[in-house]
Amino acid sequence: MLAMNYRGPGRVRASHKPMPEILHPQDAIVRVTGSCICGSDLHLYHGNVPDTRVGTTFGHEFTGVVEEVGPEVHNLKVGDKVLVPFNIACGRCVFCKQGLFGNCHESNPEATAVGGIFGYSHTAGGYDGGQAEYVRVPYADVGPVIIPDDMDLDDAVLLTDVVPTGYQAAEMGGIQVGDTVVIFGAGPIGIMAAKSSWLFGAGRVIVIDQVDYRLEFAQRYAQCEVYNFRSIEDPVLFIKKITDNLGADVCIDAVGAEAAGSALQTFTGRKTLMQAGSATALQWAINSVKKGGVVSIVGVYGPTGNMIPIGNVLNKGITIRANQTSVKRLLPRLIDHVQNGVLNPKEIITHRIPLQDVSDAYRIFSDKLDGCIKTLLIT
Amino acid sequence: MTEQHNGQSLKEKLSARMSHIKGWGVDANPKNDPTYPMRKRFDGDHMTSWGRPAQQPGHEDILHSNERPDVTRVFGTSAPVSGLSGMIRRCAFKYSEGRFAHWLLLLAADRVNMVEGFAQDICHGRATNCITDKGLKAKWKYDRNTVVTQAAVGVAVVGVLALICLRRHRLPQRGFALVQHAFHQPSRLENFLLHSKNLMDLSRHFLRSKI
Ligand SMILES: NC(=O)c1ccc[n+]([C@@H]2O[C@H](COP(=O)([O-])OP(=O)(O)OC[C@H]3O[C@@H](n4cnc5c(N)ncnc54)[C@H](O)[C@@H]3O)[C@@H](O)[C@H]2O)c1
Ligand SMILES: [Zn+2]
Ligand SMILES: [Zn+2]
Repeated sequence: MLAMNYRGPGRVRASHKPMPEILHPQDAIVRVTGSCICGSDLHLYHGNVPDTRVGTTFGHEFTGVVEEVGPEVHNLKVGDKVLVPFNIACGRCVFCKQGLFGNCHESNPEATAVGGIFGYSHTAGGYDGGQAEYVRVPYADVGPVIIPDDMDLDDAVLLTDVVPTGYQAAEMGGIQVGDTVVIFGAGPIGIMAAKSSWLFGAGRVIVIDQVDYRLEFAQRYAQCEVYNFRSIEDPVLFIKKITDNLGADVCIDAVGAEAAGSALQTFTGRKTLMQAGSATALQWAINSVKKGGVVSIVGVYGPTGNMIPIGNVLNKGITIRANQTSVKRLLPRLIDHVQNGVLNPKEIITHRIPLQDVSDAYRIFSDKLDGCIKTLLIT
Repeated sequence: MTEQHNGQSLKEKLSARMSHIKGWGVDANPKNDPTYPMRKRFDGDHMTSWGRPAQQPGHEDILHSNERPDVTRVFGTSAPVSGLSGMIRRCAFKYSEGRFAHWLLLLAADRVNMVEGFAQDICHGRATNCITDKGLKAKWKYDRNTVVTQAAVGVAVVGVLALICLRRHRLPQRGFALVQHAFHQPSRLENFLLHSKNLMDLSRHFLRSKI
């Protein structure tokens, strides 16, 4: 079968690999109908995630058709059209029982701090991902959801990560009616966080990024205020000034380890890996939030540590909330939102590229070329 | 939110055991839960074991964090450890996730693994993939200016390096000229610096010619 194949930082290709097999009684094999490239894949693509082995296949956002099921799979049958949450979760451990499907303790041998994730390095379990023609789906009774007949596949694929992550970013912000929410990052996640913030009753939603076309898209799609930090000398000061000098009630970091905007952070976090990614957006979030406010982090960072003003967190009495998204927990609500037209995720897909051309697809998404917001790989 | 908590019954159970601690639980407030609605509280909140699923076969060779007793019941089989990078990865897993050594060794292994992959490609006659794998076709199509600028900078850097190398080869003459020049300098500091540099250059050249 054809599959994306990682060769080293900045180098990926499509190549032939053996078909996946049922390796556990609760496995299913899914024929992939569409898979997306995510901002999280860029951390792998840039070689910043430890234990990313050459030859692995990325891809944690995909839909497909069930091709084969193991003897202990009861909720799915061959031929079902499914959307597969990016978390691999057993459904039995204490964390799954608490609804923390992104923190399962029975799906990732290599690390305890993060649950299993499809196609996300051996630090997240060493599973091959869905940027391929076929994929092995462990614990197939727990994660996958049958796609409702009336749902567009483009909407479905975005329900595997982007929509729930944007929504959870807003949810973790504990947004109260009338709150001012500042979101760092106008990628798919930031855009969806902006859209979701309104659902929680935000009074004002502001998005910050450095890419004009993305800001324009966010402004149009999520009806929010947008600012390009490249044209602002001091983004934190700027945010203070436009929020009555007090700061935002809630700040959301939807950027993570690839943040730009500070030479020191970029050098130590991205170029030399002296810290676990560049924490510029998080630093700005902590410094721009009001005293007693909430910083919600969905941007991904590595495991070693980052340079952030923890003293300000203490002095300002900030609450920090963060997690890998618990996709399965949120799906019932979000499927409703999509079916009722409250959310219209498919509009953010700007590029459809054959899996064969995966090298170009990564370059376009990574370098923000050709007005790219979200890329769907077609098999 | 409250129906998701059974804080009360747990509290009753525990309060008997905690009766020796004055004031135990008097301010407990299930509503003060910053994890809501992310975490659903339930009876087994403090359970440490659960009915584990069947074990996926082949777990004997899977590296696992030493912060857990064994391999999880399922695991990925994407790219088994091998070669020098594999040896480094095995070494990394001797350290817990909280140690820098664990992650730095894994990153080092990744870089070694990249070279191994490169060698593999060359063996299979795919060396040119270095260009296509980088998606340079798309870069050329949508962002030609950057490609041209980067290429120009690359050529300039290589040029400068080549020049430096060439000049190094002419060290004996250069060293001699510098010594001569240094004695004509007025500043003592400059003299000192130049003398030291000359000495270093000359000794380096001497060493190199001996090896
Ligand atoms: N927690 C989760 O479960 C989860 C799930 C999906 C994605 N993520 C993470 O969310 C983050 C965003 O994902 P994405 O797909 O939108 O990625 P993306 O790369 O498409 O978008 C990131 C955006 O941030 C912008 N940016 C860079 N530096 C900035 C700064 N200092 N301030 C403001 N904006 C800045 C970039 O220009 C870019 O538009 C990534 O770190 C990704 O790993 C987390
Ligand atoms: Zn994703
Ligand atoms: Zn679990």
